[in-house]
Amino acid sequence: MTIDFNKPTGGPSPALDCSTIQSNFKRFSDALVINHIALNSFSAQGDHRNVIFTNQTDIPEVSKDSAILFSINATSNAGVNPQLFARIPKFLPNNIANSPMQLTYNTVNITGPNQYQSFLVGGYLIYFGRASGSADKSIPISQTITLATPPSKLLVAFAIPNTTAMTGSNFDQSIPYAAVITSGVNNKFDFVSNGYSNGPASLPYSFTWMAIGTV
Amino acid sequence: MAKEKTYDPNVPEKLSDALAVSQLALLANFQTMFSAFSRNHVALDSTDFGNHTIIELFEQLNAIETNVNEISIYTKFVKDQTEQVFFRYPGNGTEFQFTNYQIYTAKKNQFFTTLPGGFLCYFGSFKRFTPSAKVTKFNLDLLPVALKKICSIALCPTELIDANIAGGKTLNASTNPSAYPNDPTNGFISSINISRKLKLVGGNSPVTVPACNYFIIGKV
Repeated sequence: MTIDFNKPTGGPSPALDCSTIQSNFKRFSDALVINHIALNSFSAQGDHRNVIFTNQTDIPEVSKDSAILFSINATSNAGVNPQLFARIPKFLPNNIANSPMQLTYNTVNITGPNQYQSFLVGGYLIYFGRASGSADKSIPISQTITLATPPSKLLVAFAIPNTTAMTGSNFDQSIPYAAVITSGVNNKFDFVSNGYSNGPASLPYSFTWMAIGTV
Repeated sequence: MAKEKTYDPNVPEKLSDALAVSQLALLANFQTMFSAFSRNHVALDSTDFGNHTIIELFEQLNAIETNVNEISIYTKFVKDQTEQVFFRYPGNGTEFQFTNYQIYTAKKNQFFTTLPGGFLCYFGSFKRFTPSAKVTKFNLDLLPVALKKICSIALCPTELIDANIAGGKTLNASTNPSAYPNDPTNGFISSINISRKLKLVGGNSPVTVPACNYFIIGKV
């Protein structure tokens, strides 16, 4: 039985509506125990145990003096999935609408070992890792990084050499480098380098890298 | 006198009352609990009642106290900002600000996001800059103008260019541009100054700045 707002009636005996009143109280108790500490607990009754969001179909309004969290479908390269959003009450700067900000994404990659992936507030994916190889003297280095979880659009990529080259002047020098995004290719970028111009015929190289794309 | 129809935990008032005496108060209580629960929750008269629809966090004046087995999430007003979402770790542990700015597309080729703790990250790309005798450096504008402190600047060229310099020498492409924040205006840092120089006898020589991607972290 669901809740009944017409009970109790004004009859002379509580027994007439006893079961309905009990049912109403049970409904409150049953509802509150979902996501919350139950009413008949010894302490902390009413506190949240967890929060399950029912997916929203429209963006909720936010009022002054509050901020809201909610779930709504969001489109990404992984399809359309519910994601957690935050909305703050007014906008900074003042001429910008206070649109909801996506806080989550479907996947992370924490196993590596050479590529990891997480997400950033606002609907961004961040990738980072390490790549290595062996370079022949005077032959440019070029290696492609393929992002295991493709973004909708690759925005920036970075590559930083971790190895140095021994030059003829007898001092170490970072090998020249660049990270290159090919226009229209959203799951790959190259890091390139002029390589070693001095030193032994072949040397190992190592780069750490990072990339950011839209979900 | 008719009872006001708001929640009243003290009904029925007397054990000897007939139900008619407390009926309106009881009805009001049920209605109030129903209405209150309907805020942020699937309503009690729905089949899937109980779960949250949204969570609306009203501004708190102070950090919420947490026991050893609790994490708290709440909203506080932040000076010069607005109501922002905060976390606090168990046992009245560390409190940190989770949200801190309205994210939007600031301009073409520049994006930004937030990090917990009140940090903003700007990232994007700029094109090759060739200095002239009069203009030896350029300013990379940071939008929105919100940073009070620059914490980190990372540049990565997206092209390999050597710079020919006087005397037939070559500045190797590995020579990174230099970058440093410009002075604040009204307390906010609005741009980064970028140049690339080679130190020569008799002074510094500005050379071409390659196109770069950048990642900048600052404190709001």
